[in-house]
Amino acid sequence: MREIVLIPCDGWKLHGLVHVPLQPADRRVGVILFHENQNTKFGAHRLFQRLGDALAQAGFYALRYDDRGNCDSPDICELTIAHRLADARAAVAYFRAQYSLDVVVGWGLCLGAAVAVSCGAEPRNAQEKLDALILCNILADPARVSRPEWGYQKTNLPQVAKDVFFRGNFLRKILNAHRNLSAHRTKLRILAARYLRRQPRELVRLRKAIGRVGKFLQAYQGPSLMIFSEKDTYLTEFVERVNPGDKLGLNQKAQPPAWIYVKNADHMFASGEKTAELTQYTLEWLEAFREGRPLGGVSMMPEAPEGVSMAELV
Amino acid sequence: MEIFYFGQSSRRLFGVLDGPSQNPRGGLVFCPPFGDEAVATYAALARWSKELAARDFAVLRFHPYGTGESDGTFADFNLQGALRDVSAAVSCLATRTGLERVGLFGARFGGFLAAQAALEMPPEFLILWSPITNPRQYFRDLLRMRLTADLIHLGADRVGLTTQGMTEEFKAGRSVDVLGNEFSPEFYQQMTAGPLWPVQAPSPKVLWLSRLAERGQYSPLAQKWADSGRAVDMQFLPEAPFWEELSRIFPEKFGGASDTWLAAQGMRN
Repeated sequence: MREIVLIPCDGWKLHGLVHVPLQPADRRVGVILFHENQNTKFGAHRLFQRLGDALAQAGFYALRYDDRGNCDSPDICELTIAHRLADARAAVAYFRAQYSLDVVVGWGLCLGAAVAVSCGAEPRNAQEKLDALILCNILADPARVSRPEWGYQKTNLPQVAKDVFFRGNFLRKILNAHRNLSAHRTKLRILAARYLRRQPRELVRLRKAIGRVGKFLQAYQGPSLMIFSEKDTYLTEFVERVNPGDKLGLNQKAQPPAWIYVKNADHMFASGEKTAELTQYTLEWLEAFREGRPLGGVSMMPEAPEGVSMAELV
Repeated sequence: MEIFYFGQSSRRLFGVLDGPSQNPRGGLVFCPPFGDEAVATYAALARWSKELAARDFAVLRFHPYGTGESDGTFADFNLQGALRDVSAAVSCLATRTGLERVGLFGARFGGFLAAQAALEMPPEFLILWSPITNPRQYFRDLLRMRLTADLIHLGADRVGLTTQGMTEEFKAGRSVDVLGNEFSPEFYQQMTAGPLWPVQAPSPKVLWLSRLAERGQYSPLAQKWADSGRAVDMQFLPEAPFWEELSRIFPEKFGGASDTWLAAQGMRN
């Protein structure tokens, strides 16, 4: 069963859906699903909705919501990372109080995972506490948010130069240059403007926030499960840039994270089979957590997969 | 804003009504794009809906059965079902607002749905953003996207499926997983042998927006619509393909042109 809820936050209302279990377990465990960047609460191929249904079927409460002024939440807001974090905290407190939950677990994908650990590591009060974390393909490398899909990027001039001069027939380009002078002039003007434009302040803030994710992972004291997809560069980024040689000391923590590496899965687990696999890992770990059994997953951080090189990332 | 489920209890649909339910300036049902495009455009279309609502339009956004927050699984989604859902959404908006006729808006596959639905119950007006006009070709393109993803993730030597192979699966009555969405044999059948793009404009007033790059493909179709004596405003704009990936991009040019067109129809301040 799904209930429509409106979560109050700083004068905004966040639209959410709670998956309510028909047969709740004795220990009332709620799971908040934090979606990635621009997504809405049901997610690509309804990933979050399907996961919410599976969680409710297993006796968990699950909450999905839209950030303030976005998607199905009322009004319009140019969302910042500070808004996202405030919304997440409000959602945790609301969920815990309204559904009388004993514990609340944060489950996040990509930016959602970064939001979950940022809130989890620094709760301002007991209501906002995240008692455990499941972090999938976590966004922890600030370089990632400068990519075009985030919409904040400036022109990468060296890359453009490389594309212009070294792709295709260079000699023919030189010979034909005079014919295309006018078009080149226009393009150069556009490129120059894009190269010189100021970085949006939000990009600076977002980079800073994502740059702190590693520290938050280090600081978080509760149990956690880190899930990475094999066919995704996020694992490579994490292993090579964020936590090379376990410099964050995650495996030395009192409660080190468990790691799961999903073979052949992409960033969004975009197949029925991979979604089912992700759901199964999530449920197994959460059921063990709820019942106080040893938590699953392997104890060592996986290696960066072969064939995904850093060259792809720049 | 009101958020609710509507439709039959065996076919509950998720709806969001932006704007006033009492005395709105006009009404508009949003027909969403399909699959990943629906997800990629969700925030942008929601924003446009809220902007229209701020100008006293009543806008109903809904999720066809088997998609988004509506009941059912993706395997339940098919063309005929989605058209019934558009009809249910139009009735829902009319009932809630008291409007006798409402407009239809559709982006991409939603444009195809809106045009088809308009044949059955002509709307007050029709707004299309880069509509899919050839469902057969579109369906094939979706299957190719699955192949492309397999090629990237598995490598050429491990890709076992072909477009032909997937077609055979459908013909044998089996579903096929396309990037996490389960396509049913009924959906395949209806997309490949179902209704074609209407020859005549199905609404007295039409705004059709497409990207500059689509001019060659769409001009003849729109011309046919204009020749049928209907008021068809076709514009080609330098818009980005905003449905292709999740991003912060809002299709400002399509949004602006639609606002201007609605104002010219005397439906806005």
